[in-house]
Amino acid sequence: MSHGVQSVSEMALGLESTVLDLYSKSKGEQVGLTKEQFVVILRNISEKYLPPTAAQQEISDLYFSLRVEELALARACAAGSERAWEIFMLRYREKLYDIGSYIAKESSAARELADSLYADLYGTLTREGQRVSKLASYTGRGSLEGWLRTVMAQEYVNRYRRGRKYVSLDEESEEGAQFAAADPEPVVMVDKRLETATDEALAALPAEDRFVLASYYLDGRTLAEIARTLGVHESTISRKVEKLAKSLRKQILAALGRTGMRRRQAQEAMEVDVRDLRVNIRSRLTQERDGRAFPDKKAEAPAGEGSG
Amino acid sequence: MEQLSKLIRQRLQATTNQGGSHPDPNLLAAFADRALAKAERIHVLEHLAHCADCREIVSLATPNFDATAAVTSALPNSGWLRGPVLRWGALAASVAVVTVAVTLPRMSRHPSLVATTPSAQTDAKGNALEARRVEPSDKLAASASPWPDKGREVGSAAKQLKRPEFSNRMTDGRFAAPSTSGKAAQGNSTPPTSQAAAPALPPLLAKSVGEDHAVLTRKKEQRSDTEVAAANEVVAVEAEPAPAELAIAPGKAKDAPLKTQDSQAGLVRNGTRTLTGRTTMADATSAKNDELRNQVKLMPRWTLSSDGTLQRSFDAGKTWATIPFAGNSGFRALAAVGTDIWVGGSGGSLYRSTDAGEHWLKVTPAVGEEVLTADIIGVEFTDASHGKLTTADERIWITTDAGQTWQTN
Repeated sequence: MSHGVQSVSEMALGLESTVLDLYSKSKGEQVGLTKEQFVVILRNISEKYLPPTAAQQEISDLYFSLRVEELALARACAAGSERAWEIFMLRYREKLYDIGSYIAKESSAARELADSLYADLYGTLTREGQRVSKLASYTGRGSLEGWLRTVMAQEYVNRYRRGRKYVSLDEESEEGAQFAAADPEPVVMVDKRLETATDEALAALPAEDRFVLASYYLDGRTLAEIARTLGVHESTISRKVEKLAKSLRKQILAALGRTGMRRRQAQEAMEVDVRDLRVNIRSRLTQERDGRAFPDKKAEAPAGEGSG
Repeated sequence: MEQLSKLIRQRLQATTNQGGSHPDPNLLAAFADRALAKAERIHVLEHLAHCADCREIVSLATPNFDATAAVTSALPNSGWLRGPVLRWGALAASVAVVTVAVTLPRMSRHPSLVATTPSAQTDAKGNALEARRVEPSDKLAASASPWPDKGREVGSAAKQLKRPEFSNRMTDGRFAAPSTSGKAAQGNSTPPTSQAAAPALPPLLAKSVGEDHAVLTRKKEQRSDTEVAAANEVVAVEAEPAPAELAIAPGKAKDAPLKTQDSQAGLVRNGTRTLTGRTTMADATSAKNDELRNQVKLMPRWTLSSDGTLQRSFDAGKTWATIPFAGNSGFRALAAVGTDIWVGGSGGSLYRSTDAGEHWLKVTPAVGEEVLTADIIGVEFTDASHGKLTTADERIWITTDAGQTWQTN
């Protein structure tokens, strides 16, 4: 922040009417959130998502995009307002369990998941005797319900990953024989040129296309699931996957051609190599298991504008 | 192509987990809510393309409202409660009530078949008062009919009534079967007259009746003149409940009931014609009449419980059964127009049933790129196609075509 103190006061002056407007819209007063607290919260949010050099217009755009009412409610809860908790419980208590059962798909796990998140929200973590609620990290970018879903999904993925690591040992000892017998041979090297060509073709795609491909080919999600996540119709994704596969094939062949490979040769390279890929994929998948999903979810909660 | 997919899989896998640090849950939630601006959205997608964990989180965090929520019926034997049946049942049963109201007193007073016309008329007039209480809406529908001239034609056609036959028919209580248009066709034998009845159907009923009209007409033509005449008289009597008409009714009834037909009376008759036509149905299923009447009383009632589940009652609210929705509850608002039910709730979930809750269809209001994802807190429908949604973020969504297209503020 090279502008120093002056810039902060300027910002406050210019955005004053916007912030006041949003404060009344947020109904923060009803849940015991003061105007001063609200201003601090907004400033922290803009610092979090925008560079220090952001123009005033960008800041006010960001402010207007926030769900201020839900933001005020969450932060008032985090600050310990009774009234805010009453409202929060009324609106989201049942939802937490619904979300839990949607994510975990199994009732005991769902309850455990919801209870654990609820504890986090209420703030059982004590650091230096201070109660910190996870709600303090909600910034109003998406809906509060969406955030609750996301946080719970994150918790679930963390647990699931951790759980799978332990469980998989048992599973391996039970089922390992089949796997072990299948391919004891070491990984076969794939033609380097083919790898490079594929990587280049993939990298040239827009992020959304790569997201679709990864969801479809790697995660094995259904077209409907992908469509739901992106908010489009299933048939759109279906067409997209088909189109992408065709154009990738074309581009890979073209790239191989540029390396001096004949067309027939290139096609054969794809056929042959891919048979070896099977081995390669499994080895990569096995390695991937050791990867950690998130460093530590709990450490993240009190970070930032926790004292709001 | 299978080889290609393996190649893609392998290369995508190779670049996994190169997306840098995970976006914070707020951004992922905003992504799932589709609330991110383009630049940020691409940034998040870029990470998601590389990060299997975040893809899983986003997928789990996106609420799942499938196109059609499979709803298992709360009551096992409610198959009869389909839309058309319900409409027919309601009309047939209400007409049955009118019929009984008119018939029973007469049968007790004139057990023999030799009733004189004037007295029959007078009695019928008295019963018309009852009829009015039972069927006010049908009367209104009838007088709203927009074809006064054609109505008069029907009226003149009806002049051909034969009194003695009328009273004969009256006493045996079977006046339900034929109808005015049948009479018109046979009495006048002029095409315009028989057509007159068809367009003069009350607008409110026209839709549900339209199809069956042809069938009814065919039946009518097989009836004898006597039956038709009798029915016509009954129709006229039933159709006189409006206060103004009641005032002139005695004159009509005693002197020349059909001579004084003005266009309005003709209209009323036309309107009632549908009712009489309905009674044909009721007759055909006369054994079921009582049952149907009970069932109409038991039109489903709806409520939302405090935890946002939808409930339906078939016994006027004594007991309630939850309508299960796959993976979703949290409804906050409900609108019921006849058998057309709309229910909305958290995360923009909106469902519609057109058959009193037997089948449900997910409706996703959208304007251009914008999809309704906020909580729906109000659902108001004035008829099957005109409705208004209010959302928690203080927006209003309006449809005028039963949810096909939407407008928002």
